[in-house]
Amino acid sequence: MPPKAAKSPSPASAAPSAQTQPTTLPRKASADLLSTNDSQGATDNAIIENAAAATKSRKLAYPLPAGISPTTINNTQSLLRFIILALICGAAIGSRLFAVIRFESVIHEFDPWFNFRASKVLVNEGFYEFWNWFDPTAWYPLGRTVGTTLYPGLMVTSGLIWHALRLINMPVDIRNVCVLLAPGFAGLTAWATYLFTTEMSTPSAGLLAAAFIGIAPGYISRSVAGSYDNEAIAIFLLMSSFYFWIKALKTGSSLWGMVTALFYGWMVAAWGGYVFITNMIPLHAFVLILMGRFNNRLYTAYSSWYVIGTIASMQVPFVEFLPIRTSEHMAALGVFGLLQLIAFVETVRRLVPGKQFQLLLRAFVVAVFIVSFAALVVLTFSGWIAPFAGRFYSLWDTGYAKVHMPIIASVSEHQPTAWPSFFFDLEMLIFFFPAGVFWCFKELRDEQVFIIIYATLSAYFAGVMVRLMLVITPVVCVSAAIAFSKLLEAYIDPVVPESEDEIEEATSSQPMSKAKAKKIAAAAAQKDKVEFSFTGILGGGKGTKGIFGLDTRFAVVSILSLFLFLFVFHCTWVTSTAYSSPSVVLASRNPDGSQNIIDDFREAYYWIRQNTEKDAVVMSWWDYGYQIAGMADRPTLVDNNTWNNTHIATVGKAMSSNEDVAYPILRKHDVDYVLVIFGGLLGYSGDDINKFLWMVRIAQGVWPDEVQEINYFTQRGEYAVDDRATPTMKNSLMYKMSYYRFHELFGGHPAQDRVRGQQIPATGIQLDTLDEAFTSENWIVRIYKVKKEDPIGREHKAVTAWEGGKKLRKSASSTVAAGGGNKGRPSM
Amino acid sequence: MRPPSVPLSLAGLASATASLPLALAALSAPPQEYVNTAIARTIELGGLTTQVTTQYNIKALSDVSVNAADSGAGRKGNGARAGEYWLALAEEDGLEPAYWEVSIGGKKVEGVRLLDESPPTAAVPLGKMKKDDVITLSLTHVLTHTSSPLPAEIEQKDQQYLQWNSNSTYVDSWYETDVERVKIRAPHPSILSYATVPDTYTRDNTITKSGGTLTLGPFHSVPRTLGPDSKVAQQSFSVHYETKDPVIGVKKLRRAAEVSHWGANLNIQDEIELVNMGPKLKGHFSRLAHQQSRFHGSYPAQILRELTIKLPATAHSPYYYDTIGNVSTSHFRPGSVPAQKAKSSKVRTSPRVVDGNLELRPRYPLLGGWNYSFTVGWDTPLQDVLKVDAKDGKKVLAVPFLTGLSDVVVDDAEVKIILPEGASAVQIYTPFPVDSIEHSIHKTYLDTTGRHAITLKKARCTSRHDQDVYVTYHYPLSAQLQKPIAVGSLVASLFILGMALRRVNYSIDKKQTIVVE
Repeated sequence: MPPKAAKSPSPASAAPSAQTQPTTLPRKASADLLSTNDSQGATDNAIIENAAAATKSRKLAYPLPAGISPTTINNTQSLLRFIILALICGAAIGSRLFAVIRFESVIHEFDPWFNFRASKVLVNEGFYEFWNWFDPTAWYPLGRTVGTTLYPGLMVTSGLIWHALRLINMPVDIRNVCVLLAPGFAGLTAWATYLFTTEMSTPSAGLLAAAFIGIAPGYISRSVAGSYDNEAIAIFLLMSSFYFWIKALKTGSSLWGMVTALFYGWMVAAWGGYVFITNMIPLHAFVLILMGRFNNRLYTAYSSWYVIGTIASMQVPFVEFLPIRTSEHMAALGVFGLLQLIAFVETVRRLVPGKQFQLLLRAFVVAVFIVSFAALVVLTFSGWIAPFAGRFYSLWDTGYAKVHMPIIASVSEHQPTAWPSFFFDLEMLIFFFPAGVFWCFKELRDEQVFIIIYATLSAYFAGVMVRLMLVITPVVCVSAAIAFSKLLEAYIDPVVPESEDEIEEATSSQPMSKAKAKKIAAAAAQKDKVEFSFTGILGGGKGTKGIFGLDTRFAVVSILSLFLFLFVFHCTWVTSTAYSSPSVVLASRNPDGSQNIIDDFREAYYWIRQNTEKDAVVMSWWDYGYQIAGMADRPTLVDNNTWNNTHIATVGKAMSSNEDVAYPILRKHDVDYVLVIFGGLLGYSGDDINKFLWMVRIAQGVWPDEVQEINYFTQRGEYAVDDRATPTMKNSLMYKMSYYRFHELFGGHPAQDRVRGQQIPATGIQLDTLDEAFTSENWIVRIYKVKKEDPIGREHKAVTAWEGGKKLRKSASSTVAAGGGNKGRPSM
Repeated sequence: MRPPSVPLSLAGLASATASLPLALAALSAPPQEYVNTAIARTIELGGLTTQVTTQYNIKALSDVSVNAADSGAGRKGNGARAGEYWLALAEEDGLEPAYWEVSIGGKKVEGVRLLDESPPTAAVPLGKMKKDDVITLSLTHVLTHTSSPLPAEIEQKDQQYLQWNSNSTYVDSWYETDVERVKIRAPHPSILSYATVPDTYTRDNTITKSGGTLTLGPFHSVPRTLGPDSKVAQQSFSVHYETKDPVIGVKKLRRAAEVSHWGANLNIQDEIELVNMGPKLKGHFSRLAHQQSRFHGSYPAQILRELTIKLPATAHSPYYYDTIGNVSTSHFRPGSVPAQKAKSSKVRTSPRVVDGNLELRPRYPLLGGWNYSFTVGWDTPLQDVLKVDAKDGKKVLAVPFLTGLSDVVVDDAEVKIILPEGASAVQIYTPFPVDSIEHSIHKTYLDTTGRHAITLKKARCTSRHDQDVYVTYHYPLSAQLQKPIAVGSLVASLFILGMALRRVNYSIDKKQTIVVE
C-alpha cells in the first residue's frame, strides 16, 4: 500500500516503522529540545545520545559521561525498562496481598463467592456442564439458568489457568487460583498500561503509568487478592483492547485489528462494562472522521475489529444477539456503516475527478447517514431494537434509579461519587490528569484524540457512579503519567538553552553560578512574556526557552519525587486500611494490640453446611445469597443476582411483616431456616436492621397497601429500635429475630445496641413460629428454624402460650387454663 | 482331632495344615489340656471405646510339647495345634475387637493365630509346659461403640448418660475356670443402674458397687462357656453411667504423609470428619445459655469446645482449615527437644522432650449429633523419621498411622504415604493388620514420572493404633537429581524456543511495511 497523503499534523519524518521497532515512537518534543536535525527513532536514549554528541556545541547543566556507544545505551535502556517493568508488576501484585497476609487466602465479599462457586463447577464438572448449568438452589423455587445469565470470561480464565497448571503437574487448589487471579492480572494490567502509554507518549511515561496503575487505590479497590470479580480481569482486557486498537490504528494492520477483536471478545465474555469499549472505539473513529482524518488505516483497523469483535461477542450466551439488537451497540454498527460509505466515496473520488460528482457523493453520504439513523430510531421505537437498559439510563439521570429501581439504588456502589473519594482513590494523579489531557490536546495525534475522548467520557461516568471510578483510573494514570514524565523530562534534560546573551558570551561550558543562572532565567522569562504561549517551557521548539540553572532543576525534580513518594505512601495506606478487608472475616484489636479475628459469618455458614439437611432452604436478605450458596451450600430464596424484583420483595415483605403475615410466606416457599445479620452486640454496622428500610421500600414497591415505610418511623420521623419504636417495627419479623433474647445477655442491665446506640426494651420478644436454631459467637449471624405446622392443628401462638403455661404451672397453676383455652383452631 | 505327637514350632514357616483334618468351625473346640486357675478382667468404660484387660492364670493339665517343624500357617487358619491356648476375644458384631494384644510377662506374644471361630478366637502358642505349670497371660483389647447414649436426646444443659452393653457376664473361655472376677470401672461415680447377675457360681455377693466401680463375682468353678458342649448360659449385662466428657467419634480420617527429601520434611495432613456421638441435642442450641455457662464456668458435658492433638516434639508449621477456609481459633504450643540430644535417635524417650500440642477449637461448639469436618496438618523434620539402613542403603521411613485422640474411635481410616519421586523397591511393614494396602502413582508439584504412593485402609481404629508404619525404599542420587534436571531442561527449552521465535519473521509481506502518514 503506498503511503497516503499526510493529514495528521505529526511530522512525516517522525512516523514509526511498525514492524521492526514496535516500541519506537516519534518524540517530537524531546527531539526538538535537543537538536533540530534529530529525526528518526527518537526515544529516551536520544536525550543522552544526542546530548553526548552535542556536548561540544551545547551547554550542559551537569556533565554527562562521554564515549558510550549508542548500542550500549540502547541495550542498557531496554534492560532497565524490562527490570523496572518487572519490578512494577511485582509491586502491583505485592500490594494486593495485604488480605492474604493479614487474614488468609479467602474469597472476599459477596459476588466473588458466586464466581468462585461457578469456577468450581467449571473445573469439577467440565465446561459443558458449566455452560448448561441450571442451579436449582438459587432463587428457590424458581432456580437460575446460570450458564446463560453470567459473564463466563472470569471463570473460564481461571479454569484455563487451573488446567494449565495441572497439565504441568501443579495441582493448585482452584481457590488459590481464584484468590490470586486479580493480583496476577493487575500485574498484567501494569504491563498493558505501559504498552498503551508508550504508544501515546514515551516509554518513560509508560513506565510511570504502569507504576501508577499498579498501585492506584482506584484500581486496587477492585483487585485485591480474593476479590474474585469480573473487574479483576476486565481492566487488563480494557487496557489491552485499547492498546491493540491504537496499534491497529497506527499500523493499519488487520492483524492488530483482529487481536483487538479477540481481546474485545474476551472482555465481552468477562464483564458487562464491555459496552464502554463498544462505544469508545466507534466514538474515536467517528471523531477522527469528523476531524477529517479518515484514512485506510482507520478503515482497516475499525472494520477488522468490528466484524471479528462482534462475532466474538455473540458467542457469549448472555450477550448473544444483543450487539445487533440493543441501542448500546448501535453506535458501533453505525460507525461501521459510515466507514464503509466514506471508504466507498473516497475510492470513487480518487478514480473520478470532478467537483460536482464529489458534491453529489458527499450529499449521498449525509443522506445515507440520516436515513440509517432514522431507521435506527424507528426500529428502536417499534421494539425491534431494545432501548437502553435501565441501568444505562441511571447513568444519565442519577435520580432515575431511586424512583424506578430501588434494588439498584440500594447498592452502595451505585451511589454518585463524592469528591473526596477521587482524591482518596487517585491522590495526586487527579491533579496531573488534566495536565496530561492538555498535553494530548497539544499534540493531538490520532491516538491522543483517543485519550481525550476516554478522559472526557470516563470523567463523567466516574462522577455518576462510585463503581465506575474503576473506569477512570486507567486514563487518569496514563495522562497523569504523560504530564509527569513531560515535567521530569524537561527538568532532567541537561541541555541549557542558548540565549542570544550566551552566544555573545560563549565562553564557559562549566555550570554557571546561581546568580547568573537566575539572571539568565529572568531574561528568558521576560522573553517568554513577550511571546507567551500556553506551551511554556514544555513546548520546546525555540532554543531560547528552557531551564537554565541546576537549582531550578533540583527544586522541581525533588518536589516531583516527593509527590511520588507521598503517592506511594498514600496508596499503601489506603490499600492497607480501606481495601484489604475480606468482609467475610472481620478483625478487631485486643487491648494488648494483638489481632482478634471475628469469624462469625463462616462459623454460622459452616454450621449450616454441616448440621442441616442438604436441601434445607435458607431465607436471608439478598446480600447474603451468594455467601450462603458458596459457604453453606444450601438453597436460598434470593441472592445478589437480583434479577427478580418480586421475589426479593417477597422476602422483604416476610422480613418486614408480623409473624401472622410472614409465616404463610415462609411456609409457601418451603423455608426451613431464616438467617439475619445482627451487629448490635459487637457494633457491626452493616447489619440487617440498618438495611431494613430498603427491604421495606422494595416490598412497598410491590405491595404498597400492605407495607408502608412510614409505619417504621416514629412520629417524629426517627428510625428507632428502642422504646420509641413503632408497633409495626416491633412486630416485624426482622426486629424480633434481631433482638430475640438480646436483653437477657445483659443480665438485668440495660441492653445496649451498639450500632444504633439505643437501649433495647427489656420486655421479652416472643417468637411463635420460629425457633432460635443457632447464634454465632458474637451474635452477628442468627439463624432461626421455621416451625412446621402444629401436628394437632393448633395455632403457633396457642402452642407457645400453652407451653409457657406449662412451665408456669410449677409456680402458679392458674395460667394453664388461660393458655390451654386458646387451642383448637387449625392454623392456616 | 489332632495327632498328639505332631510337634509345633513358634517360628517355622512350613505349611502343615494341609495334612491336618480341619474341623467345622462351629463344632470345633481345643483339647482340654489347660485350665484357667484364675481370670481377672477389668473393663474401663469410656465414651465410644471400652478398654478391657484380662489376666489369665493358665495351668497345663498334662505335659505339652511343641515341635519346630510344624505350625505357622499364616495368621488365620483353623485347627487346634499342640501348645496353643485358645483365647476367646470379645465380640463386636461378629468381628474381632478393634484392637487386641496378648502378652506374657509384659512381652507381646509373637505368632498368635486368629481362628475362624465365633466368637473370634486367638490361638496363643504357650510353648512347652510341664504338667501343673502355671503361666500368666494377659489380654488387652479395645472395644468400640459398645456404649450408646441413653436417653438418646437431651437438652443443652442436661447431664449425659451412656449405657454400656455386653453379651456376656462371665469371661468367655474355651477352658474351665476355677475362679474369675470382672471389674467394671465407670469414668464417673454416678452409675444410674446396672443389670443383675445370676448367683449360679457365686458364693456370697454377685455384684459389689464402690464408687464408680462394679465388681462382678468372684465366680467359682465356671465351666467352659464356649465349645459345642458348653453348659453355661451367658447373660447380657449393661451399665448405665454418666460421663463428663463429650463422646467424640471420627467418621472418617484421611491422612496424607508426604515425604520430601529436598525439603528434608515429612508433611502430615489429616482430613477429619468429627461427630459428637453423645446424646443428640433436643430442641435447639442457645448461644445465650452457652455464654451463661461460660460465665458460670461450667459447660455441660456433652459440648465439645476444644480438642487437643499431640504432635511430635519437633513438629512445626501446623495449619488448621476446613472447606471454607482457615479456622483462626487454634493455638499451637510447639514441643521442645533437648538441644544436645536432638540428633540421637533416642530423643523421643528422653524425659526432657516435650510433645507439641495443637489445641483446636471448632468453628462452633459441637453439641450432640453435630458434625464438624476439618483438615489439620504439620511438618516434621525428615531426620527424625527417616533412617538409612547401613546394610543396603535403603531408606527406612516411620510414618505414624494416626495421631490418636484419647477415647476416640476412627470408623474409617485411610493413610496415604507419598514417597519421593523415583523411590523404588518399596516395602511396607505395618505394626497391626490393616484392611487393604494399595500402591499407586501420585503426581504433584514438578513431577515428571510421579511418586509412589501407598494407601492403607483400616476400619475401627483407636488411639492404640497410634503406631508407626515402616516403609523402606531405595532412593538413589539419580532420583534426587530428577527434579532439578526436569525443571532446568524445561526452562532451558523455553528460552531456546523464545530465542528461535524471535528470529522468525512472521510478516506475510516481504517488504518492510513502513506506513508514512
